[in-house]
Order: sequence, then C-alpha cells, then structure tokens
Amino acid sequence: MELVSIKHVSDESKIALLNGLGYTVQKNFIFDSEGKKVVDKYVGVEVKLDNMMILPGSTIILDDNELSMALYIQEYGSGD
Amino acid sequence: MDQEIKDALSAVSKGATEGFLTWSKNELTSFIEGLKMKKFGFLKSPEMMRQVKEDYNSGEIKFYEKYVDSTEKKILLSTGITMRRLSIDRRGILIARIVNKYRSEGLHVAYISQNEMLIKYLGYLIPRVTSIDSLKSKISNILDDIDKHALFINQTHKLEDLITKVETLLNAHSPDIFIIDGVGEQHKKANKVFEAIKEKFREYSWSIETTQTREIYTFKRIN
Repeated sequence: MELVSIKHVSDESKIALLNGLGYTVQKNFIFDSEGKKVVDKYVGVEVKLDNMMILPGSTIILDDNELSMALYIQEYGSGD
Repeated sequence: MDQEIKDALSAVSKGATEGFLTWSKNELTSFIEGLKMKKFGFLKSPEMMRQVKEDYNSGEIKFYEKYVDSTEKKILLSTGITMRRLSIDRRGILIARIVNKYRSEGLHVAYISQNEMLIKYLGYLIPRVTSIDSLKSKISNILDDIDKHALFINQTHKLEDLITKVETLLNAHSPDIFIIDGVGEQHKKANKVFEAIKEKFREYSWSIETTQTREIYTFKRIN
C-alpha cells in the first residue's frame, strides 16, 4: 500500500475524493450516502475533513490519530 | 504503477512548495480506483503511520506478547511506545482518544509502556515465579488492575488525597510492585507522597528514577 500525504492538499481536492467515494462534506464533517456523519469505527469520534485518514479495506475513513492507526494495523495487517 | 499516478503521488507528497494543491480529474479517478484496489492510503503523515507499524511490530511488543494474551493490552502497550516519540500536542490528542475508548485505566496501561515500567515489573517478577503461566498471571493481574499497582499524578490531585490513596492501596492489596509517577510539575507532589509513606511500609524497598521530565518512585515488596 502506498501512503500518500494529504497535509498540503486543498480541501477542494479532498472533498472531490470523498465525493468520488460516495461521501459528502458539510461544515468540515463527513457524511455517508445515507446522510449520517462518518464516525471513526475504532475510537468513536466523528471524522472531520481536516483530520481524516482514508485507508483501504472497504475504504475506511478514520480520525487521524495513532490509536486508530494501531487498531487498523491490528485488523488489516501492515499492508506492506 | 502508472507513470501519471507516480508523478501525481510524488507531487502531492512534496506539498505546497511545488504549487500542487489540486488534483486533476484523471488523477482523482486513479486515486479512487487505487483506494478500491487497496493500493493507496491517504493521511496527513505517512511517516507517523510507518512509525506506528514499526512500534506495533517491534521487538519490545513481540517480547510482551509472550506474557500478555490480550489484544487490547497489546494495542495499549504499542500505543505507549508510540507516545514516547510524539510532540506534546499530538500526545494530548492521542491521550483523549485512548481515554474515550479505554477510559483512564487503559491510558495508565499505555503510560507504563511509555515510561518503560512494564519491563521493570518483569525484571522484578521473573526471579520470583516458578513458571511462565505464573508470570503471565501476575502480568495480567497488573494490567487488568493497573490502578492498584501504579499512581499517575496529575494537576487535579490533592496531596492529602494522594497520600491516603497510596496508603489504602498498599494496606488493602499489598501489591508486589507499586509505582508513583509524577510528570513535569507533578514531580513535587510525587516526592511528597513518597516521603510521607516510605517509612510506613518497611516491607517494601524503594528506588527513585529521575529524568528531565518526570520522577518515578518504585516500591518493591521485599521477600
């Protein structure tokens, strides 16, 4: 898996990526196709555009923090 | 990998200095396909993800795995290793996430990994057990009931309450090891707690570890 930094990518590009995956963005929060806020499945916080990770494995959108990273690795492996 | 995507990835990773902030439609389509095919991941710091992987697969965690069966505890111990490298701001966010999921008890397990105290627990226990199962049981006992074996002082703690708490824990549970950890300014409280109790519990030997950022007082049962 290639890890791509989005630290300097514009919000417009990030939103376009999310739109392409079936998500929308309103007031920095991410919504799924059913209109529900996306919640990090590991730590239970609502994911924001300015602090998101998008990882493969049913295209998981997570809060960008080291605990979610570790739990993702535990579930999906190192992805190398 | 398609050269256009390689070029796009390279430009994205280089960031604003390259003036590349907006993806073209072709690049976007390729990234979306790449996500679906599990080729790409997108996050602020790929380096941090690599570090977390390294910590999760580290020799230290592989060592703990011999004595710790719980996958939850493994995550907390691994996260504690990661905490050693984080900035104060980043660590604060991580602490909030840990507490949100695992409560303060989970955070304290991460702390004993962060400050390398679990290794010291093992060093104390190994000469005193007769089997691996016994060692695993004692480690499990510590991690499952961490607050009976360690006190992490924060600014909200009152000195009198801390002294009472430590005395109560030592009298009620007689732990093999008990640690008092005072980070930053809290090292003064940690010292006062230590001074208040050290003569009252002669069945314990004690040691002090001082670093630039914390003081750790370790009480070990003498037997």
